Amino acid sequence: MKKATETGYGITGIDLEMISLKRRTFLLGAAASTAGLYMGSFAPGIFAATGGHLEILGWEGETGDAELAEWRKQRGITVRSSYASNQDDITARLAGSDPVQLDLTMYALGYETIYQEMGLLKPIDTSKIPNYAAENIVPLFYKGSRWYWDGQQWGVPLLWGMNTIVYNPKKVQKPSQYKDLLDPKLKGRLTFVDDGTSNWSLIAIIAGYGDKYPNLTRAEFDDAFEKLKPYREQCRVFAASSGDAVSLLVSGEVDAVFSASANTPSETTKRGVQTALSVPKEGAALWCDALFIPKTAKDIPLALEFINKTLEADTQAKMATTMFSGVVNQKAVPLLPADLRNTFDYANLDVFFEKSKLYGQPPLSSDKYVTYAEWIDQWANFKGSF
Amino acid sequence: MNIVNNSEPIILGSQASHTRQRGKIDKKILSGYWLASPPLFFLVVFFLIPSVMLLVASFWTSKTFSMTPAATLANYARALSASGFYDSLWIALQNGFWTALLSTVISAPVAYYIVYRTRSNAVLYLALVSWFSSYLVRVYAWRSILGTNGVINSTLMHLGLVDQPLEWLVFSKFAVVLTLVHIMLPFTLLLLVSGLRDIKKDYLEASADLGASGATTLWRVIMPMAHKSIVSSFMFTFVLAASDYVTPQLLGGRDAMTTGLVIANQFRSVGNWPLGAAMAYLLLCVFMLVYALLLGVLRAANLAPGKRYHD
Repeated sequence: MKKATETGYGITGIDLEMISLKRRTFLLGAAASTAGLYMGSFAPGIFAATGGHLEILGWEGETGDAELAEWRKQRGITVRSSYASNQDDITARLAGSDPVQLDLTMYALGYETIYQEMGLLKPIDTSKIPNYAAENIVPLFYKGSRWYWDGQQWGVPLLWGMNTIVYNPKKVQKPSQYKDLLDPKLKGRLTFVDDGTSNWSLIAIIAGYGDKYPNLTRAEFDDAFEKLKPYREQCRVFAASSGDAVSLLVSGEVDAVFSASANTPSETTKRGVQTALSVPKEGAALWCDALFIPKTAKDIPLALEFINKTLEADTQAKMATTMFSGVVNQKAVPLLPADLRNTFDYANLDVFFEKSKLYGQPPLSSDKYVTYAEWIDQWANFKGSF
Repeated sequence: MNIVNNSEPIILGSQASHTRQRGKIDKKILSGYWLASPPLFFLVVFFLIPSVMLLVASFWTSKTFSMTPAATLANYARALSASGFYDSLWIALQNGFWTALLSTVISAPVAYYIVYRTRSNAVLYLALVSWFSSYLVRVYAWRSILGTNGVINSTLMHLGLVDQPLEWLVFSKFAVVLTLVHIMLPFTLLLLVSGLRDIKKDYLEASADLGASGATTLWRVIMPMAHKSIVSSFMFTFVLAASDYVTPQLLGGRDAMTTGLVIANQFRSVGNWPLGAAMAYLLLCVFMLVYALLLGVLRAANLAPGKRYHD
């Protein structure tokens, strides 16, 4: 019997010489593996779950990643959430001839007309969303014209909130109207968040065109921006985002923000600086994010089930607490922390909504009124003082 | 009488040698193409073709995030008739010019030191260390350093040198250029080091032996031979800095709107890609004009002889 060592095959009987890698083979293999790994990172995930899969694009904190984890586990569902930094991210992905596949996404107030015109929305069967019922939902958000028209539901309001003046009470007195921001003491101490759409309604309100917004004629539009110029003189820098506005308040670079998210004071407090909200007599800029099913949706029944879960009182309360926002399900109100409950004055919502309105967006195309694109351009010109 | 048969090829020595080595040379050329093909392929697919598509799109029309093929100059006319485009362009060009100039000038002596005065790469690595932090972190770090309550203002006030924080330190053109120089410095340094390494020390020594001073050697030997890396350093930094809109937005204050942001608005917010593409190509034309201007200046000063000195 030949010894294994004599055969050269070892005890496995495999010729190690034969399988030894040549340098070129190794490099080719390594290159192929790298390319495979890289290309594989673009491939859609392989979802083992049997309950279904959802592709969601929305605002961070509003896609139920943590709040609906237990439900996903119980139902064997996988959800891939991606986050939009602004509404344009969503529009860009759904527009054009090759839109991205999404089962659920969101539109901010006013974009319903734009998306309707672009044909991006699918009607929603509310019979599959029992939580979206008149006895649950704050009346303003139940079948309101922003989400319901032509006898069909196109969007389901999820959370709402306000953008208003945020100030440092140690540095400035509480502004009770927008004109208070023109106080000489605030020269070079004010910032605007560079999110045009959330400022536009306020620009119209300050100029006295609140009732007409978002349909302003060219003359009204020019006048509104002319009247905004003194506020620009007070401005030190345009904050790149809400987070940047928080950073500017905390570092003491500015003492007031023209219009910032309601969660700004809680964010600055976390970083050791006390700031406060002020809803001036002209009102705040309201926002409301609505879930909608885009044309590219694949699993619509599951998307409807997801919407229903997000409207449950417990889920609403958790999401609103994370986002420091308002809930649309009235049954979630008692579950909210006291400071959040008081900020939105749920006991007097009618009065609140009388003062601060749910505004739409300027028209995409119009011969009579200034269009959305013209507002964008003018906002850029205003920032650049061109 | 000798008759020369012209039909027979006359093979000269070098040509004969060349012919004999043809097989080998062909293989060399082929392997060169083979080595260059991956980046060439990448550039063609991911730069050249998209650039051509963008150019074509700049002549199209747009409505609500969708484009319609056309052959109109309306986008160019609209961009060129907007005063905001010129204003933002002027701000961008200033940012680009000062950043490129300062980065190149500051990098030059460091590159000289790295190439001719030390065998260590420690200084080069030190300059490159800043690349290990993210762009945004560096921008926010400068905001903290230059801010009203930042390190510089706090120190100056603590030392009693100023009564009030220096407001111009942050949210100003100074802050933008300073930050961009910090970000771009490793690029210019690498390019200059690479250029100087091609200039052997023998040339410098020969220049000195012939009686040239240090300044003459710099002006007559180093700069002409390194002009390509100088131009590369300047233009590379210029284009990046002039196109940037994040740093100007975060550190430039309220008057820091650059063309980059105007273009980005068209692509992201308005959804008017054709107008954005037209603006981008106008900006490209301006960059090419600056490049031609820079070469013209260097040629006028006999600093860009248009020769290749290296193998």
